[in-house]
Amino acid sequence: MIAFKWLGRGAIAPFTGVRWPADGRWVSAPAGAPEGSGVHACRLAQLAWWAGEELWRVELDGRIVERETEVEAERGRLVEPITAWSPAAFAQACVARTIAFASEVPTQEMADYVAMVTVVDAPTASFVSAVAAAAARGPQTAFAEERALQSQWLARALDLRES
Amino acid sequence: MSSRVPDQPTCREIVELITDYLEARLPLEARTRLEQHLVFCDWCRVYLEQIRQTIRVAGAVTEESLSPEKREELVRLFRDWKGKK
Amino acid sequence: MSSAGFDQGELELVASLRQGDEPAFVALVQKCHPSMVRLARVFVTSEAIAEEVAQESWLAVLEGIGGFEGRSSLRSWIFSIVANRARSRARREGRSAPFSSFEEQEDEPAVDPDRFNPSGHLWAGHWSAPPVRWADEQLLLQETLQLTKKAIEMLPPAQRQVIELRDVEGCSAVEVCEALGVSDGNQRVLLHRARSRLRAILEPQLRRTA
Repeated sequence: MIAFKWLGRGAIAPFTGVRWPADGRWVSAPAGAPEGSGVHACRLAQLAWWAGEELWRVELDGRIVERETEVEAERGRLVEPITAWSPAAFAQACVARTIAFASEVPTQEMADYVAMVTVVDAPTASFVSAVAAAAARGPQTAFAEERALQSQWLARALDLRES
Repeated sequence: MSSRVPDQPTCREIVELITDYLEARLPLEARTRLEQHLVFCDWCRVYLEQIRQTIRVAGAVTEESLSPEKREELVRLFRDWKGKK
Repeated sequence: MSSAGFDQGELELVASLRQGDEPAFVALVQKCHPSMVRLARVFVTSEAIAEEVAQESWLAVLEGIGGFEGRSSLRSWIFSIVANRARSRARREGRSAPFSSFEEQEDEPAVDPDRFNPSGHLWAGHWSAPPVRWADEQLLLQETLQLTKKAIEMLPPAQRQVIELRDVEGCSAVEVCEALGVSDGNQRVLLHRARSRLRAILEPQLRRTA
């Protein structure tokens, strides 16, 4: 399966600190490792939950578990970096959404979200605008739905396809 | 904010989960939510790193090494025990 | 990773000890004695008594080595001997703190609640006074190590036992449960509290020098 993976600068995994091999070598989870210790990646619809410095196209193999906000595979390898990824453009899109929510629901709370979203980095803007969506539209599903819309935006802006 | 999105942990909740996270004892869903929080929350990332650094410093607390006198005492204890065996 | 795993090196050491091999004993003593004293010191009232407990424990180790079955690691077996002897000694001396009781306080937040926004705030529960990155170089300065040592000594006994075995000695969770006779959950709560306290004590020191 083709999927996408967010990494820190230098293809470093953000939570383990492990550097992913840039030559596209396969990386495997240890055999018999507990649930959650495989290779994590995103389908297009899940991109916005994990925004980081670098975005890579990856190939996954072996047993693949699909979850709400990520997929986990036994094996994965880097295919290529998505060099078109622009945190600034994404952040700007989140700002625009938040401003739109605030004009729908002109409260102090919404104004506070606008003030914040304009000064933070892309991952935080993604979070704040999703919270603003929840505040404007109702909490139960609006947060996750906004994240899904952000993911769609990213997929379109970066012209990503999954096989 | 947490009332707006109840299943998103707050920083206050994150710091209480940090040990279970480092011990790999968080249930998968809680771990996912924690990591999603770390994506945007630089402060909690700093906190996590500080806990890791705390562990490292604790590990560097060197033991007093065994003094020769103490070693001799224990060797005597050993020889006594051996003699009585 | 089970501490009762098949460890060839450890089996050989145990065999040597059974045969009365003095160099093997000395090597083990060099490795373990200061840690044993440190562990005993958590329970008893003085360094001298901790030293006595550690010495008595060595005798118990030698007398018991014939029956050691390797169900736990050698180290956690030795530590459990020390912990038990230290506890008995403390009881005999009338030390009142209940070392094996679960915990002193019901609730102990990892971080002062004042460091987070109160409820009602837009970002309730998020940092209002966030932590500031520590420079790695500051960590291993003598002052930091001294402060850490003192801070660990001042922890409530149950927390001190766990952090000493886990983070100072590098024992695994399983080893600590075996040595102290506590459940994994208990061990983790104590570890959490100990590490949180230690971090909080280090913070003003490390913030200053950053």
